Amino acid sequence: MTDTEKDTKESKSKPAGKDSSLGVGCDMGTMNIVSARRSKNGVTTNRIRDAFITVPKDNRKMLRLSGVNFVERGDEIVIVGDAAYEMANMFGAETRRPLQAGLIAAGEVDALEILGLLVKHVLGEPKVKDEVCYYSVPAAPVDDPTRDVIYHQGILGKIITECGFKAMPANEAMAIVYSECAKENFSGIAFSFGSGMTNIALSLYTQEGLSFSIARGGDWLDAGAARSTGSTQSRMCSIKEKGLDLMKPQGRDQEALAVYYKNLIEYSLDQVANEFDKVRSKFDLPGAIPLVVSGGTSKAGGFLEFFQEVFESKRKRFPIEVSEIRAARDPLNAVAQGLLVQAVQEYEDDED
Amino acid sequence: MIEAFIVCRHSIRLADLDLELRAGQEIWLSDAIARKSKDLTHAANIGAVRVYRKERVRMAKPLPPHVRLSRKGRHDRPPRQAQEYLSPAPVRAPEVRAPEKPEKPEKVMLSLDGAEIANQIREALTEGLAKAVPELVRAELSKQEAPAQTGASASEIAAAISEAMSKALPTMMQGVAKGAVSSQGPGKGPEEPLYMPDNLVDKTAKGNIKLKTDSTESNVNEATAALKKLRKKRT
Repeated sequence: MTDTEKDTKESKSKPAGKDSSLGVGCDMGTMNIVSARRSKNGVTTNRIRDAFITVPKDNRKMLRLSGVNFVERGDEIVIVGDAAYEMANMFGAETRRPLQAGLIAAGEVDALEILGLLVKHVLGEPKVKDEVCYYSVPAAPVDDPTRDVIYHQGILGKIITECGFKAMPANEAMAIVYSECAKENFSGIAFSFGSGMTNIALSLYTQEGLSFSIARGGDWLDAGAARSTGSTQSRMCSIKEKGLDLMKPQGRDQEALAVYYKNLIEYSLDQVANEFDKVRSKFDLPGAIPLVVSGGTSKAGGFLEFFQEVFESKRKRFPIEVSEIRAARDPLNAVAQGLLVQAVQEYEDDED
Repeated sequence: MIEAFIVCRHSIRLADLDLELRAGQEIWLSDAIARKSKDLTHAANIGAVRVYRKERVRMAKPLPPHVRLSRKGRHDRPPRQAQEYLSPAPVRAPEVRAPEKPEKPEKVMLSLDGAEIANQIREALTEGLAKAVPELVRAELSKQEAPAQTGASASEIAAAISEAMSKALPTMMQGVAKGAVSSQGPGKGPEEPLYMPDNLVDKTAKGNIKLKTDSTESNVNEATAALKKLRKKRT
């Protein structure tokens, strides 16, 4: 029995009345799947790395002893999560990922089944029948119209429904506004620097004024830096995760990463200017609004200062008046928490 | 009788209804059947179709438009009574003429393309809204500009602006508060029907999966309370 199944048994014994912890937020990221639920201490988040590798079934005993996350499937064993990533690095292999570049990997045959397993474990069992689960969906990329967001959204919705929840799609960057901009009455511009893509949304009092994504993110800058230094993408990712100070890059690898970080920030700010021009006539902004940066790619050391520096060089041409630039309190969980705020609201509405 | 009116936005197959809808297709279904269909509910959730529940308008078929003859045609043909008194025209030997080019048909200015009309209306409305919104916002702001006199707080002003915006821009409101998708929509869907496989979650799979679990003192409760307050003000 898995840990999640144990949790399920505990939760099933609770009465299904007006439970204040009803509602779940689930961030479906390229790198991590994160769920968030209200608990006595605040919020409990469950996270699993969105990666897997398959090994023959003979290794089952060894895997059980080592405590590695795995699932038996037919004649093979699927190692999932961080362990898959570590084992792949150890043997010089590439991990397989159910999501690539922000969306469900079309060419990955086993992707859907593995994704189903990961989501099932991260969400656990619903506390009541058809418990509301808000899940993140990227906006359509402005620089790559071939990417199929509809299919991605539909498949994720179906997986969550099969897990016993009522699936509600919600924009990823808007979720950051719900999580981080409560004191500004949910007005702000949010940048979600993810692994597969970067999502951006402008919100005014919870109203989505503008939202789009760009097909560049952490994977893109890893690949670019790897190309320019003759290294590998996974090595670049590892340098990034071990600790990289963008304000003081050391050596060629870090300098290459800093160059690509700068390009990613400049590109995303330029795209905001372009997209805002298209809707500028539709509304007047009441005043300066905060800009929030979040997502796994924004966890690099000195990212906020680096972003502010790049932003200052673009401020004159940036069409939105920004009151402050700040980082999300918990960049890996901000989207899941914002989705949770929306899911909880469904039950608050019912109470009214 | 209330029926379900389904507008297909992206081509999709509804397996349990045995229906294959194409983008732009509109169909009527019995409300009971529509409510029972899980595939239809799912398709509506992902934005592939829109379902409206309404009564079908039953009205007499409009009369065909009155077709007026061209000025030339009216003058050329005498009234029927007069035709009886007219002597037949003298028979003349046919003149040999160079074959004339057929007259170009008169241009018909009436366009019956529904989509084009809809586009024109949409463009006109968008232009109107673009002009109206800033004015509405300014009007709301000027009403509440002196908080000391009116006693209006910043959040009330915010709510008023939000209300004005929502009145002027109904499209921005669609599905935003409750699980918003992109304002651009979920992207241009493929024209071919979407295939959504079933049984994606293997409930029999055995294994050992431990998740990274964190408990944090988050601001979710404050955010939820703030959102609730904002919504109450809006209503």
